[in-house]
Amino acid sequence: MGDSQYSFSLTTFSPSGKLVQIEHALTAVGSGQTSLGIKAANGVVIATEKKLPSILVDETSVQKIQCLTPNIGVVYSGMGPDFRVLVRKSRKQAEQYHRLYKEPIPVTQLVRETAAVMQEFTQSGGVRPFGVSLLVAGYDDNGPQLYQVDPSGSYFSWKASAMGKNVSNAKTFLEKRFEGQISGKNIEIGIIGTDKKFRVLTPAEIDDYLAEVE
Amino acid sequence: MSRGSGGGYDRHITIFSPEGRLFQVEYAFKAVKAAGITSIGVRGKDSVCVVTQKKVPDKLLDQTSVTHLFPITKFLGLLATGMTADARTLVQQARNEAADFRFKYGYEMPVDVLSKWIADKSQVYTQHAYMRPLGVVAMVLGIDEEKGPQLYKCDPAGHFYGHKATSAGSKEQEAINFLEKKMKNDPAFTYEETVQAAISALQSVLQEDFKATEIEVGVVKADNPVFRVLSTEEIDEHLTAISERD
Repeated sequence: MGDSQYSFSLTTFSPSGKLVQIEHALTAVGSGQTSLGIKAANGVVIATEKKLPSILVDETSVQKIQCLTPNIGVVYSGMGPDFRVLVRKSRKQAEQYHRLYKEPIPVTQLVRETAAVMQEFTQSGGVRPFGVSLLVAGYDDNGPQLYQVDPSGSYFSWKASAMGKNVSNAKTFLEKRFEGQISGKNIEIGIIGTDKKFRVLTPAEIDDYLAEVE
Repeated sequence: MSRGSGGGYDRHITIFSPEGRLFQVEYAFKAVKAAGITSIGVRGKDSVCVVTQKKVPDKLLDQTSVTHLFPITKFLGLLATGMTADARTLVQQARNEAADFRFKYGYEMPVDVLSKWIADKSQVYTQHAYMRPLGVVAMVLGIDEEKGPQLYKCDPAGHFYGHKATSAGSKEQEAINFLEKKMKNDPAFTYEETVQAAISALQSVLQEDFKATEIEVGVVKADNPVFRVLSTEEIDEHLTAISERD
């Protein structure tokens, strides 16, 4: 990894011992759209705000929550294009694991490998860190799991977590009303349960859940 | 005592600024606006139409060689707004990729797959220091076998979205405001309405009436999914229809 023209890292230590490029990447994440995840006893839910730049955008062409394997899903806060790169790399890693071991990749392994990629881009020559934080939701033999991965490549397991704008208010996100109504059209929810199959809820299903809550 | 900025390089290559921004990407957007051209795309019920200004800076130039509208395959068109040289290299690579896709997989590259490929390539330029982002916003149009008429816009940051209508270039924001009002209730435009909506949006935003030689129009229709650039006569017909309507 790394570009031959740039044989030196662009992410270097400041005199106080900080890696400022990573801090700036975290700032980019902090100004991204809010997303959060909650781990339950028998499943995991991840959700994100889906705010598009204009009503002219076809919302069916945008999917922020993505499947990495049939039983692992991921959502992000930060820069969409960087997220696509990580999704592609993670899917490939999961597939390579499956090819070698003939079993689905455990959630911790996939998270570790994705985090390793993100760390590479903080140290290799001629590249910048990824401007995304990921929430990985999965269900494997170790039960339901939720991990958050940061631009630095560090990751932690969470019972519940939020990222992006208004992180402190994120706990009330799903109850919050903004510009009229939350509906199936402007949020996305992905779930994984005991069936170990990750899937994204259709707008109709989201509306049903919202109706129940109210 | 840490250094505040990236040593001043955050404006020269695509590394993060202290606010978490990528200045080179933002400057690439400015380069698109500086080209001085506005483009508009509208998706109808069974057709897609894109329109752009045709500014020939020198009378000695061969007008037929001045174009921003490129066929990528027989069925996919690309309208490139911004720096013409960057546009040409993007078109060249896209043509190669689409032909490769057709050869490898045995069916035509869909609109969203090509748009994603263009956007992913743009993302690489925002993350690797050795290449700058391209100063081009690409609008890709075509008829998808399952989803019908599709219009995608890809920008230097690597974003790509499907659109019901969109704009790019110097008067992008004004055009989008105009189109938002027009498309508010999800109207299902016919082919003629789509073309006229796109042309009249451009006329309204630039506040001038065009001659047929001053604009380029590209279309795809569901009943004939080939990407076509309209001839001057056809553009004239639409212009006449618009002026008679008003």
